[in-house]
Amino acid sequence: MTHKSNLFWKAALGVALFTTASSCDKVLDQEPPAAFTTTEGYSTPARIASSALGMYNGLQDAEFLGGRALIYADIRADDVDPAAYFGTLANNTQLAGDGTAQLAWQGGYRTIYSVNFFLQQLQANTGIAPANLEAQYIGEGKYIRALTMFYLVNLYAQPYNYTAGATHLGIPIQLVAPDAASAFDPAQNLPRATVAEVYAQIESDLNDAIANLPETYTTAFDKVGRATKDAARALLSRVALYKGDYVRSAKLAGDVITGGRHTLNPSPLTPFRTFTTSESIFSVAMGTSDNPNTNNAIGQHYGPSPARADITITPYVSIPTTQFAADDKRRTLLTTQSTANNRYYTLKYAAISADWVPISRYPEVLLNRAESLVRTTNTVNEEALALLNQVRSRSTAPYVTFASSTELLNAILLERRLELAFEGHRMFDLFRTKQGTTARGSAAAQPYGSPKLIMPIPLREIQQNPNLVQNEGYQ
Amino acid sequence: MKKTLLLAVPIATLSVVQVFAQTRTISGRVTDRITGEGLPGVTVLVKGTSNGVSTNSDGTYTLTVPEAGGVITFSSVGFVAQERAIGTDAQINIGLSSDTKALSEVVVTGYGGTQDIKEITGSQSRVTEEKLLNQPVQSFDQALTGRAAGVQITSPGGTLADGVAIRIRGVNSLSNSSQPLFVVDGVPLNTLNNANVFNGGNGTRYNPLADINPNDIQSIDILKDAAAAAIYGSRAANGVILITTKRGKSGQNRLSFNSYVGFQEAARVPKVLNGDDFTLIQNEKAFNANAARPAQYPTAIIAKDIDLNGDGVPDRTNWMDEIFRKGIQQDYQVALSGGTELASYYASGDWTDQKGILANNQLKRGSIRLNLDITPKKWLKGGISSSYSKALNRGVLTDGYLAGVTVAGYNAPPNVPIYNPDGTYYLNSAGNLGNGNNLTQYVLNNYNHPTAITELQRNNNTTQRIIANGYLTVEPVAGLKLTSKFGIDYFDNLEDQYSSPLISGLGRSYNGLVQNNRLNQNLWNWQNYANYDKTFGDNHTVNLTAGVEYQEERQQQVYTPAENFVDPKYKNILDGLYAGTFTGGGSLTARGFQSYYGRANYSFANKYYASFTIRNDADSRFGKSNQRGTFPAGSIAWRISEEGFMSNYSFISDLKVRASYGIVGNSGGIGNYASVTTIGGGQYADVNGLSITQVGNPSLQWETSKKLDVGFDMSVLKDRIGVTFDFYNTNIDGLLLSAPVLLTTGLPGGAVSRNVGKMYNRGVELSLNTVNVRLENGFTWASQLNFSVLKNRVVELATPNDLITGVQRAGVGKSVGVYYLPEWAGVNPDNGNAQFKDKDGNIKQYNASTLTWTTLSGEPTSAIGAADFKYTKKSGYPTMYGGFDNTFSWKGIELGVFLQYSGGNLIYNATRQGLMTNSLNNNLEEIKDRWTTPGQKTDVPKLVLQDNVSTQNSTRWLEKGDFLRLRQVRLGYNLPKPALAAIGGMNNVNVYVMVQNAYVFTDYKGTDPEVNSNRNTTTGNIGYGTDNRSVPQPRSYVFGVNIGI
Repeated sequence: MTHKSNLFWKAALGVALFTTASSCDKVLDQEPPAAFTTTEGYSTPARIASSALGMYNGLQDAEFLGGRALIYADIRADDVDPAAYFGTLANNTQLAGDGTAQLAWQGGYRTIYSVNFFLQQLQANTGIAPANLEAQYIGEGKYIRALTMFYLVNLYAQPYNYTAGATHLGIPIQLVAPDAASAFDPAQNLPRATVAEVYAQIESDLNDAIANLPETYTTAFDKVGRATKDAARALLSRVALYKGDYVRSAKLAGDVITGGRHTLNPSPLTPFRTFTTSESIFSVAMGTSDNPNTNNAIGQHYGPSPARADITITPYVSIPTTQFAADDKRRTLLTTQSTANNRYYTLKYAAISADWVPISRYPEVLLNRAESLVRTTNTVNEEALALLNQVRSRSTAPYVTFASSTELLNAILLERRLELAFEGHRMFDLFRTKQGTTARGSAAAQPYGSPKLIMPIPLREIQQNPNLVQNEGYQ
Repeated sequence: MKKTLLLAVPIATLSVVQVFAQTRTISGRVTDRITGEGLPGVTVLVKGTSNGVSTNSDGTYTLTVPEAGGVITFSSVGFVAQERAIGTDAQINIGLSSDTKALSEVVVTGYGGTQDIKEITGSQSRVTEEKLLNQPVQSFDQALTGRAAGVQITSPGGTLADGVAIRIRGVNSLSNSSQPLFVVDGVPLNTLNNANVFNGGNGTRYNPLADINPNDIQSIDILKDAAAAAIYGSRAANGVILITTKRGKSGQNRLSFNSYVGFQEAARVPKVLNGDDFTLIQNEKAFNANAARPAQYPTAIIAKDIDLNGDGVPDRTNWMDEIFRKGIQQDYQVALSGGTELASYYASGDWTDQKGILANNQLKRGSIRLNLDITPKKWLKGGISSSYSKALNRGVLTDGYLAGVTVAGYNAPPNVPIYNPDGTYYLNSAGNLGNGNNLTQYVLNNYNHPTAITELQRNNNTTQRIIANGYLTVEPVAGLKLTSKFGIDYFDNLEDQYSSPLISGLGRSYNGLVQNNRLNQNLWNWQNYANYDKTFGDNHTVNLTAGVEYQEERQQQVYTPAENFVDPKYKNILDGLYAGTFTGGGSLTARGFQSYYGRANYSFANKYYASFTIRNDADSRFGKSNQRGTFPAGSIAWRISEEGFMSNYSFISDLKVRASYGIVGNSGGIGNYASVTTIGGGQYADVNGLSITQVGNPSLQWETSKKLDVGFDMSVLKDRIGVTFDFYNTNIDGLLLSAPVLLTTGLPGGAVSRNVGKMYNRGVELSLNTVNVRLENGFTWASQLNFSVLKNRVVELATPNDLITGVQRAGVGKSVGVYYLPEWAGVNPDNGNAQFKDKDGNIKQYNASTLTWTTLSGEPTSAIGAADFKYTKKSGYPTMYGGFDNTFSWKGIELGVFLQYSGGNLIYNATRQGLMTNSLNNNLEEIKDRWTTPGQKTDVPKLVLQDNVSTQNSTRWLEKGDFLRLRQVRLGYNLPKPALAAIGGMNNVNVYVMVQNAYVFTDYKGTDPEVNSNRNTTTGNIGYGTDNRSVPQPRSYVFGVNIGI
């Protein structure tokens, strides 16, 4: 080897080492492999359709209407034992910094965000999806938003009838989806609107939903798992009932009934085993892949072992047989006593993590109308009695007659308790009739209006948002 | 850069064609002038030629020399080179004396750079192999505790291979990315703090640094200031830790065997009530509640004994004995190293098996390493560094989960048995621990069976990792080296979780559930750089580095569940043996990095030094227009001791003052696509959908740290005292954080990544290396003391409100991690009421019997509320810490006593809060001090069942975190030469016994003040310093041996 060849090799190697391929610069172009950009996500009718469905994904929030919100409306009422799993909430001993209260609050507003974001994007990309579908999507979004706000306002604020005109504080009304910059805008320090204002927003959304939603869909899944006009009517009927607007409640429930799209199953068990029968007007659909690795499925909490079996229902099965007959199918088919620990569980949720979360079932609509008719007429209304018996007779012996409108009303309210137990109604039904909760286990009785019956606004929010006022009792 | 060895080797190629005339052979032995021992690997060279050899392991050599005579040079690193005329002797023996100058440490500065520590203008610390070898730790970072000034290491407890929090010069970021950058043999490691993803990554954990065998590490260089770290640009804000693994040395063929065996135990476990006290205390809670509100609490007896086995004695269980144990640890390593002028190698194999202090916690790891360097031509060098390791970690769930042992084990009632009389676990129908005769409705949460959860279930992970790089260096002209280095860090983790159908939870729900997650993360890195060394004239030395670097990190996960097994015998995913329908999943994510960098060092006459570094980085995680950032740093030093006027101060052997300033960046702690708003999967039941998954921030920018460092290094009295002092000021701007938003905004995750503000860290570091005693008889006492104090303040926040994690905050004018709590005012001696101070300092007392609040004088008042919260003066971060290492040696006996200290912080003791509740669960012994009689002075209020107001978050649970730890006591013995010779030519045999974490001096009431339970939160650096059922620190007893042949 000579000097020259040495130099050649040295130079050649040196140059080779320093000639880095410019193709390496592409390491800087990293697109998210599992996501679209906003523009891409709303660029075709198919993607917009998928994004519309994504709002329901938001509705499935594990901390809220994926099931927990319903539980929170029952766990303090008189049908269930105070479950250790729901600790301070079940015992009415929440403090302002309570984690459950914070997670539920966050979950609810997260759901609302998914709606607001979709509506904003749809507006920005209007004309891509067919007009009728755009209208439907708007209706679906507003239905989901209304439903979420309805549970939020009832969990975090005193009931509508707490003050005349519902002028007491409700919840902040969030109608936009802030972006990275505006999320920190002081304008986002939302104050609490009054309960009346929140209800007005809910009604406005539901009216829009009724206007825009289709009467029904083609697939069995969509018919129950997606919002329809009837879903919005049924919910608005309940909203009116809570407001004491019985004329309206009766009217909306009547619209659903006369529409004829829904019937009761012969057995009260069926809607909890086959989620897509016409008895179910709207449910939050669930699949096994939605919630398998969490503690939050409604069936985990309510179901007997092998589910978590957190919630037992001694008070419910202890309703005297004079009111809740021993052979009532809702007792025989829908409750069970565990042979392992002799405790009582509901059998409404038996799929552990795949139970659909029932929002509106046809029996509720029938009972809404029955109650509203009695309350508006103050008579033993024949139609009301018939509606009541329609619900009752598939489970137990129907009523024949009532001596007074009060007795009929009480029977309807009892029927509501029996039929809609563990579906997120009971505590609100107590409140709207100005009743408190009874003592159960370690939980003391709470009178109507007790500050302990509504959740604290999360301390984190109070400390960060100067415009937010804490609920009485948590200050 | 130039080592003595290289200096001694002339550019050989110039004389390649030279032909020798007549020759003859000489031989001899080279010895250490002090010890008389043979020196291996000394270069013996005929001066002016390439004709040379290295000495053998005993120092002997044989060399062919020209008949005509000449001069032989003897040179070796760390020794003063000698020359001898050949003359006519056939044998030349020579003794070399060590070169104190050359012996001074050579430190690694990155990208081919090494520098004599005396020439360093920046601030860096070094920890060498003797502090890392045979330490009873799972990962090397644990062994750094207390070793270096300004470096704070927090081991979160005795769970094996748990992540370690490393903070260099304080918390330099708000996000969870305050970990420094780790670089192994020049290639950055994957940025992965925890290999496990189940339970949100907060269940069982595995620190990927445990894949690197500490015994293979030659040295760890910690780059602290901008001058030292800026060559790593955008990843340098938290400091850089350069790990150099061992390499072979020419002529020093060695086989070494290192091993230790020992055991570890929990240094301190919580003192919970025994069965009798448990019954007494629980029933007192119930009695007081019953007396106050009989309608609500109809019974005064809620805890009752059970005698399940019918032996006439109530059943008792000390759950602490069940969840903690003495764990055996063992480690064996064989390493081979050696080489010639042309090639050198280091190869090692290591096996370690550690059983932790928690029952069923075990880590087994095998690793091999091969480092190879070849120098086929004087101008060409190449090599590889490679390691493979495989580890099996049997994890145990601890805090944060009902099935965690420090939750279940601490809470469980001690008046129930572990087993049924038939030997099965004592479980109730839901798969929880049976309740005995205790009432269940006052339990705050169900108890899992503390033993069954670890024995019946499985939380394993198996990692396999290859960290390897290859390089080629060409020296086309003298002094210019061109290097290309390509490295990978391939990490593969199989996480394997089994949930038993016997235990409450998912296993029970689904008749057995196995979940496997395979995570592999590959990082590749290609760097090309040039180093140029040149001395002009006599006094001007320049050293230049310039380069380019590409890097990509890609992670893929695949998840598979299986449930509903045909028989409980089957606990793995096996086809046909389970009927479940759960579907699997997966994820894919990547990030890229591209950089240019350069460094110029200049020195004049070994007196004046200047250095300038610049790096330009682009990171794919930022928006297109914000990807690039430039990070410059400059530094100067003046070695005063070289000045003529210093000759009057001969007691000062070395004195250098230095100053540096620079800007470095931080892009850690944000998601790979944080700048993009993403529309991702939004499945609704079993129907596909799309949903917003993240609100991106396109204006996201680098976090920048402006770092100033002023310091000096001094040696006095012939190096008997070495002092390094640094003052630093770090101004951090554009703090990156996944910043919490108001929940009413509804943003996914409740947070959005953004630049949230500014803060600073200021501090002083002092290191003292002293030889305190050196006696004629050979006794010496040497010590190393390091001391750090620092101050952190948030200067500005872009968010309208404080940033909050739990009870801690980042707020303007406050230190990060400051607590914000109502102030506890003790217990009213008259009535046992809990007292708190309102915002004006007035005492309000809470009567748990009547559920009412009154003022001190008994007037009804409102409850303590949000308005009454106050900031504490101190935060969760220590403001001073350090270590004090002492070595006493005499005739081969060496005693090491290593103390570590930390203080100035407050710990929120949530463990104590959770174990002082008024629910029906076990309590700490402290509860026996509860108020019972008027006039009694105590800090524990009257016990009333289900009173959660007295135990609410308040300063009652804040405690000082100051501690002094006797971290290590090590007694070793080096066998003397005659003994070594007698047992067959061994080089060295060292045997030792060691106690790690021997004792902790502290007032902290929890198990250990070195604690941090908030690991994985997005705002982890704000919530630092909470103890929430952390696992106690272990104490290890180790016997070890190091043998060199």
